[in-house]
Amino acid sequence: MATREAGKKMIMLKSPDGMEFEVEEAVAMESQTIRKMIEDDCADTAILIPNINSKILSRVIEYCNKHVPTTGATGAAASDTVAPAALAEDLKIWDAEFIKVNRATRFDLIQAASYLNIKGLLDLTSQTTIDTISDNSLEEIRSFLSTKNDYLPEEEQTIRRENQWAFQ
Amino acid sequence: MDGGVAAAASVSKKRKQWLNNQDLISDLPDEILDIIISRLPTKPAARTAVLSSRWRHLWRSAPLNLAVDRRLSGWECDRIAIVSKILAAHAGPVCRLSLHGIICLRRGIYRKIDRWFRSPTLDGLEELDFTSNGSYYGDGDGGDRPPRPLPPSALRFAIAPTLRAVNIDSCDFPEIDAAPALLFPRLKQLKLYKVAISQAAIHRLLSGCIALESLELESTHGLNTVQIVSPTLRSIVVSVSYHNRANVMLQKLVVEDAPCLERLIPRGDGPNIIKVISASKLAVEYLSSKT
Repeated sequence: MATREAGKKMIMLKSPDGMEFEVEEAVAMESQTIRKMIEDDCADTAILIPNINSKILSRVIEYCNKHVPTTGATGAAASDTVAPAALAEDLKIWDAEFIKVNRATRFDLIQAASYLNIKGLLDLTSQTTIDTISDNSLEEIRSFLSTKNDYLPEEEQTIRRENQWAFQ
Repeated sequence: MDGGVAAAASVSKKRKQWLNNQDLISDLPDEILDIIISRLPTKPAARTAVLSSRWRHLWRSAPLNLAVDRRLSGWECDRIAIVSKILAAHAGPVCRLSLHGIICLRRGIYRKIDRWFRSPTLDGLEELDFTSNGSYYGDGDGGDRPPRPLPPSALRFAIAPTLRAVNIDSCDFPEIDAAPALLFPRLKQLKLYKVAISQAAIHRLLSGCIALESLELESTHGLNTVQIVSPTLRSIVVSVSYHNRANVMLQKLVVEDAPCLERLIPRGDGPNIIKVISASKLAVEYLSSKT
């Protein structure tokens, strides 16, 4: 049972495989998609999150729980009053642990972050892929991503010629 | 029983191995691959078209992060030609444009940049980072250096409802006509570093930034006083450079009314006078002793 603190509104999120997650509204609103649903009054009882299974949804909620700005008695964000640098460092370490998942989970998380529009989670989950593509040769990228080159040699040459500057 | 568990674990392990050898990224929908491309540096982004046929048409219509710097090419003339080519042919928007080390003073290049700024490809611009190359003529703030005008067409992004962040470095800001008023409806971050801007221009600029949250004025010159009236501003960083006394440097910052202002940080010397009239959220530790 989730404990309800006074004054904190709870929201029910449902995954397509039938699991239900009760979360604080502020945590759910880390997702811009859910925020919009709540603000537009489309979310009175429970919100069904299509295409995101319970395993991935629970990880997304874990992320949002950690990243929601905690509010103090004055209503000011705690991150602004309690040593912001230390807090940011703590979050960074937590993020690095959080993202230690296999490739399949990582791509599921990218899709979830994109659908739910959670910028921080999208940045975190797509960074490995961005680094891989930024820092390696085409052969290495294909090997890391298990992408098969399905071009005929002459096709590949044509595409290279279209933007030759990118290959110099 | 144990054998059954072991067999299940082995199946699960094999499935994991199989999954890890699959081209999972190519199964992602176009819009997510677009997001990945939009976060890549310019060159690696364009190269993705060659990865496989799945990627063939993505780059040419993806939102771009266009960084005009030495990574694009070691030669300035090549950098200019590449960007002109991309802007003319790209089917998607450019969401981030960063110009570093451009000697915009040279007339031909100045005209090209002006043309870039007017390109419809930049209609959805979210971030503009414009750094003029000062070192070419010496990096002084001196009144003896040649002018480094920011093409006035940069102001046309005022109508772009998408613009979120602007960083202008080492150039002369154009004058702003009083009417019609400029409006930057979504601009949250504005940083002017070593920018020459008139007092009238900065006030017209700031009054058009109706959503501004962060303002940095560092070594800004050509103006004496800045007055802040903003219902949204949360952070101000201000510094003054006294290296060259030929310029009029910022002397006075007056926060007339900024109900959301939490931080006011004078960096380095800061202006001589900082006056806060109304800023109820401003924490004392962030308030300068210069009041």
